[in-house]
Amino acid sequence: MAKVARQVVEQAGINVDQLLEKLVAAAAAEFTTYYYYTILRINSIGFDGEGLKEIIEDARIEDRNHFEALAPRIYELGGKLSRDIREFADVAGCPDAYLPADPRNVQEMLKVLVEAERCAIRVYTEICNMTAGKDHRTYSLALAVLHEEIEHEAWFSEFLGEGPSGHFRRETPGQSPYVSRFMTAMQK
Amino acid sequence: MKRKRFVKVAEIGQIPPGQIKTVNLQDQNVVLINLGGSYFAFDARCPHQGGPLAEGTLCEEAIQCPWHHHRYDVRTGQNVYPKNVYPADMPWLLEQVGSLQVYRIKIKGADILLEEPPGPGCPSPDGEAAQDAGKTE
Ligand code: FES
Ligand SMILES: [Fe+2]
Repeated sequence: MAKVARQVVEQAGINVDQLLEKLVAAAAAEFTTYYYYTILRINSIGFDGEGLKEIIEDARIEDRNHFEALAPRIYELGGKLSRDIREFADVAGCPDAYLPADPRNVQEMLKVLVEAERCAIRVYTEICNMTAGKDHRTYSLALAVLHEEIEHEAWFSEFLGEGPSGHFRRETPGQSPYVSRFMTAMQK
Repeated sequence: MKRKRFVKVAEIGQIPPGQIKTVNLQDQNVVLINLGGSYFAFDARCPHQGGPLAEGTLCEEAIQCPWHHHRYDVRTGQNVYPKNVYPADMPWLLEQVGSLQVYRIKIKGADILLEEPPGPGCPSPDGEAAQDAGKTE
């Protein structure tokens, strides 16, 4: 734990325990989404599915990156990740992104994906709103994640034909252009 | 048939548009909201795991729980997410996406009145319960 790092956030008027609950819930949602997106990507086959596969992979790896980037901040603020992964999954801030009953139905698959991203956008918007002007480091991290979640939503929404998004492709799979600078503990 | 009883819980001036207010009805916390001049009321506890809906956020006609981000249509109480993406071949998941109890509202002058919930043994209100929300008398 970084003692002064927590103190300054408290002094700025943030309920740090409440913030930690939100950060752990966000980290758990990233971790579970990484798992579910693995299954979605594997099942993304056929004419439409093969096109979607690459996008799911970018979002999947970037969600794992979000988990990686959130974990150190949780410990800095005096929080921790659950010792029990089942308990951890249960506190996830977003619902599970299950493989649809008919995995060949790309529309159903996309609905799961786009809703998952929309949930993530709401999660990080709440954290940004809570920390803006008070906890600069958490805000900066949450904003970086938010940028990527918004891009993910745009990619899937574009695939659903809801409108152009300006997206082409990441330079490398799961590149995390915004969050990578927070991933100080791993090779990207 | 026993006549439904409506009780005053707030005044319209106390809830500006887009705002949330918690009131008490028969020792239950009930959330009142003003959506562009129409009022809606629902249980303060999320049916999923009891999350505090008064701390939730409104997005269009849905209230979103701050704990796991389930969303409920405030007019009907229906879970609108994640029920819409839960797979049909995993029916046990439906237990997690039950409906939120909504309350019938009447506006009488400047008063907001809520219908008292049915007593024990009575059927719970269905999805239609708040259909006439915000109507004046
Ligand atoms: S308690 Fe409300 S979504 Fe889980
Ligand atoms: Fe994501």
